[in-house]
Amino acid sequence: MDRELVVAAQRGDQVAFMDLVRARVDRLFAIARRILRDVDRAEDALQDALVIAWRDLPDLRDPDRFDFWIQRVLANMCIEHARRDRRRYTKLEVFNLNDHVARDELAGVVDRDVVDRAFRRLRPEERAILVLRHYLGYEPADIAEALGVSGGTIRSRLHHAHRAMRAAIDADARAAVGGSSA
Amino acid sequence: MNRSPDVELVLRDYFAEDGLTAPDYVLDVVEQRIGRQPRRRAWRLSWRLHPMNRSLTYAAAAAAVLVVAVVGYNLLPRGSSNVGPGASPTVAATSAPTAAATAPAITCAEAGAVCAGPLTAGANSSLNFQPTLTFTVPDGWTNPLDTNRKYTLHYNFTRGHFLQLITQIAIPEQTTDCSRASKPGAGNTVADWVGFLTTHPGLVTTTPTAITIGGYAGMQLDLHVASTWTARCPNSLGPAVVLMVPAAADNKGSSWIDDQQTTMRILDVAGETVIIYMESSSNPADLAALNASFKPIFDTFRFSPAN
Repeated sequence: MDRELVVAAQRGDQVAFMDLVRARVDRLFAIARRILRDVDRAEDALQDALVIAWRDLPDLRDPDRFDFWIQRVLANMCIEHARRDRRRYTKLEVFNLNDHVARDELAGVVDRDVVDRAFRRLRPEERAILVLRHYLGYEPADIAEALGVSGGTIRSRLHHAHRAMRAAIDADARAAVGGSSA
Repeated sequence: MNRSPDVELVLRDYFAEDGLTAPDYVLDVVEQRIGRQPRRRAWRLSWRLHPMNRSLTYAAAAAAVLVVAVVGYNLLPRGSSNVGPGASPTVAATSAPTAAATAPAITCAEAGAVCAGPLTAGANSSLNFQPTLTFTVPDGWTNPLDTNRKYTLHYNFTRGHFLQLITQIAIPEQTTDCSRASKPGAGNTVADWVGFLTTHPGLVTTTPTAITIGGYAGMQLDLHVASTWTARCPNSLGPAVVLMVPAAADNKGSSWIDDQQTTMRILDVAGETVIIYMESSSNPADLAALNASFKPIFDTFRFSPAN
């Protein structure tokens, strides 16, 4: 069914395109929010990505890869927005914690604010890589294809991002231990 | 005791679903924007890069993200004859809170290229295209591409309203993948081009007629792909004919048509061949309407060849 919609949208059927994105918009919005950490910027990036997707959809050779393709368009748009807005003051959204997710329940012991601060310090590309890897479950080879860089570069950036996150978490843990023993 | 958690588990928790959904106005804005977004139909008017190696493929993909379509194609419901610039595109007002902030920015049609974007009503000139083109347009025209060899004019965001001036071109030889190949020994005069187009087995053309634009003489003809032609190009919607290739061998693009109707005006501007290219849907009536609507613009064209 989706394949038919993709083909129809490729041929210029705007209704088919809107049906396709309507079924995916929440998921795509979630990806954008996770990369950009800001609701307003995520909305802007998502809108821009969907307009670009409409424009470039005829170039998609395999309609069955629509989901991967549109996520790729979105991830790259988020990186572009993050770079563009890096110096601009933004209302940084405190990531939407549901009430049932208490701060100290994150992976057992880690303060969510610590993770959030560490994540925001990463470069936009590294944030996108982590979202593609740990939210969407992409393998490094898929991330490489999505972001248009080599697999080696992805593995290197993934390693760096993990290391940076771990360093921030460990530093926080040491501070907590020091604080409790003082 | 300090326990060091698995950073991957931490990140999975951090990214866990939060139940937020996209506001409705996000899709409302998208729907409005794509309604006035020119559609790039599997390249067409753009000059394609043909994959040569992996890095070039990535470069082409990156460029594609930046490309604003120079291809207008009538995606409005068939039977609509309202295709002239007099038909102002209407953009519905929106109460969406981000609509104003997300109005489509003009992005030049090729990565790294220069363009003027929305043109002011009145006289305008090309900045890079040679020979320098001067012309007059009413409100609503946009220049998405201005290089030394290509100049494009859109009528706003209405599909199917564009023309492109192209120079520094060569008569092509069609290859199986439609990659750049110039025809050995072919010339580049107006007569050479008319001869190539009217004798091409894959094309059906009208009888060429003499024209004068901006004081320079040339020939005009309409053409489309012959029903007997079977060769295709990558991503073409059917049989396709390569029309032009860049004169410079290091430019790997090619320009081809498949199911559209095309008008080509081929001018000799002080010894330089300039092609004015426009296309419509496969409906010949659309092309005729487009030509009629663009005539007032053509009438203002003036060329200033470089000394």
